[in-house]
Amino acid sequence: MGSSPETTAQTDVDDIHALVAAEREPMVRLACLLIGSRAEAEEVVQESFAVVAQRWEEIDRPGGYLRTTVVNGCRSVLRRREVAERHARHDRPRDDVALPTHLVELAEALDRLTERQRTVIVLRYFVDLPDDEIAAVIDARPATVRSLAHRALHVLREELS
Amino acid sequence: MTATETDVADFAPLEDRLRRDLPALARALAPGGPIDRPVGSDTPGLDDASPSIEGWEVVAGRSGLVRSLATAAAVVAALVAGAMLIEAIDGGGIVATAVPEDEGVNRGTAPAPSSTGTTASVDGPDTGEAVTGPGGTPIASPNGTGGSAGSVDRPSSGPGWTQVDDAPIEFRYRPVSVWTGEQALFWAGSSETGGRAFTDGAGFDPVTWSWERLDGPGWGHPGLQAAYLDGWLYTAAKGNVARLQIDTGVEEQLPQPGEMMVFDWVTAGGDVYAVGSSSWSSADVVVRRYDPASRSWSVGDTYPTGATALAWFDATFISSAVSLAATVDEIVVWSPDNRGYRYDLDSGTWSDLPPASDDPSPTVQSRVVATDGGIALVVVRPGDEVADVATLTDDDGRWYWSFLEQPVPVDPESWSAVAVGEAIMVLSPGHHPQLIDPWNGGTTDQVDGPVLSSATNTVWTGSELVVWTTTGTWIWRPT
Repeated sequence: MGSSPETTAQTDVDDIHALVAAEREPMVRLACLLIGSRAEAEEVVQESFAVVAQRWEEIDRPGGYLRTTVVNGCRSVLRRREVAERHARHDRPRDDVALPTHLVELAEALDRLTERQRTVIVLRYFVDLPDDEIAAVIDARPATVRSLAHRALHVLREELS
Repeated sequence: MTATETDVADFAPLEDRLRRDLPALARALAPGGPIDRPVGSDTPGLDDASPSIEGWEVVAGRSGLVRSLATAAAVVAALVAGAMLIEAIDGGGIVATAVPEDEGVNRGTAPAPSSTGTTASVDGPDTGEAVTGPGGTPIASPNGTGGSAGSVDRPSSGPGWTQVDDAPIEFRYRPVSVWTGEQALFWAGSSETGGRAFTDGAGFDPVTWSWERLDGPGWGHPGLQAAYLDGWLYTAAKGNVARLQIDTGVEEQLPQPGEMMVFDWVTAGGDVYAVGSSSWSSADVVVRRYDPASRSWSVGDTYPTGATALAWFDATFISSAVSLAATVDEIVVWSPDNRGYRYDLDSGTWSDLPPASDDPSPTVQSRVVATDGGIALVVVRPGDEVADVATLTDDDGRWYWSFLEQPVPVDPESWSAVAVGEAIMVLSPGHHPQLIDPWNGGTTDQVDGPVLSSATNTVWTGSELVVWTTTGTWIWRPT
C-alpha cells in the first residue's frame, strides 16, 4: 500500500527542510572558502539546494550530491570571475570582513590558485575528503587530484613563506 | 630521499596550517547567524538564516515534489528567505509563495535565483581612448574598425561552438596569438610560405564578441616569436629583442639574452623566460629569466642535452620545431627527435625526460602542451594519421609519459594542439576539432564545431577558445 501523494510530498518537504537546516551553514562556509565572497556563496548554495530539490527523487545521497553541486557551482563562479577580472582590470571586490593578518595572507594565497587547485585544497584540508572522493567530486582521477594538490601546495608554500 | 619524499616532509607544516586556518577563515567569512538581520535576532542557531517551519503548509502535491528548476529554486529561495506556503498548481507541480508570518496573504511567488548562477560583473575593455605608439603611431584604433558587436548575436552562456564575425584583417599564418586579459590578440604573421610578413593585427573581445583592428608598431616578421605578460608583448625577430606595451604602444628594446642566438619566449610563474640555444644547430638548451625591474637577464642556465642538435626551427624556417610548455612548476622543451628536457623552476635544475616511445624512428611531429593539470604531449608518428596523447607524470621523482589508449584522427601534415583548461583541443584540416581529456581519458569529436580548413590560429582565454581559420571564426566554450 503506497502513501498518498500528499503524504509523499509532505515527507519530501520535511526531508528537504532537514537537509537545509543541517547543511546550509557548512555549505556556505565551503563555498566561501572556494569563492571568497559570502554573498556569492549564499547564491551558489541556494541554487544548489534548488537543484537537489528538483532531483530529490532521483538521488540516493542528497548530502553528497549537494556538496558536489555546490563545488561545481563555485567552480563556475571562479571561471566566470577569472574572465571578468581580466577584463575589468581591477581587483574583485572583497567582502568587508576584518580578518587577522594570517587569514588575510591565507585568503590571498588561495586566490593565487587555479580554480581546480583551490577546490582540491579546500576539499582536502577543510572538508577532509580523501583523494578518491575529491576525484569523484571534480570528475578527475585520484592521480590528477594528487598532482593538483602537489602543485597547489607549491604555490601556497611560496605565497605564505 | 626522493624529491617526492622531500616535498611531503616540506609540506607538513603547511598542511597543518591549512587544517587549522581554513576552518578559521571559513568561520570568519561566514560566521553563524543571520546574514542580513541584526545581531541578536532571536531566530535560533544556524537556522538563524533559515525559515521557521511554522509557516509551512503543503496544500497538495503529486509524486514529483518539484517539477521545474524554477519551481525548485523558488522553493529553496523561500526556504532560505523565510516562511512560505506551498500550493498546488494545475500542472501537478508546486509553487512556493512567500507568506508573511503575520498576514498569511499571498504576495506573489518568491523570486527564483538565476538558473545560470551568480552573475559576475564584467566590464568590457575601454576602447574609447586612442593609444599611440612611438611617434604617435596609433596601436589600437579608437573606434575599432572591425567592431561588430551589433551584427552578431550576443554571447550566450551555453557551452559549445558558435560562429562569430570574421576578423577584420586578412588571414595569416603563424601570427602572434596571445590572450591579453581583454582580447584574443592576433598580430603579425605571414603568408603561407612565409614570403610576406604582415604588420597589422586584430583583437577579439570575448565579452562583446567584437573585433578591433590593431595597426601595430608597423613591423612584423615571419619568424616572430612572442609571449605576453602583464601588459607587455615580448618579441624577438631577426636579432631584435623588444617588448611592446599593448595599451600605450610604448616599445622598449631589451638586451640580448646572453649567448642565445635563437630562442623562444615562455611565461611561467609570473615571469617571462627566453629558452633557446647558442645556435640553430646547438645541442645545448639555455634558459634565462628577464627581470623588468633591472632590465637584465638572469645568468644562463645551460643544459648540454647530449642530442645531436636541437631543431629550433623546422625546414620552412618560419616556425619552431622545438616546442615549449610551461606550468607554475616547470618549463619543458620538447624536440621532434623524441627527446625532452624539463627545467624545474623551484630548484633551477634540468633533467632529461623519457622518450615518448621506444620506437627509435623520429616522430613526424610532436608538441608539448601545458594544461591546467600539467604537461601533456601530442605525438604523430611516421605514417600515422592519428595522434597519440600522453601526460607527464611524476612517480616518486621518476618522470614518465602515460599514454591514452585511444588516438585522435589528424592530418599528419598539418595539425595543432592547444590547451583548454585541463583538456586539449586538437585541430586538423578536414576534421572536426577533437577535445581530449588527457588526465582522465576520453576524446570527444566536436561535431557541432567546424570542419576545419587548412590553417587555424587559436587563443585560449581561460574560459573560451577563439579559433580563427581561413573560413571563419568560432568560439568554443566548455561544458
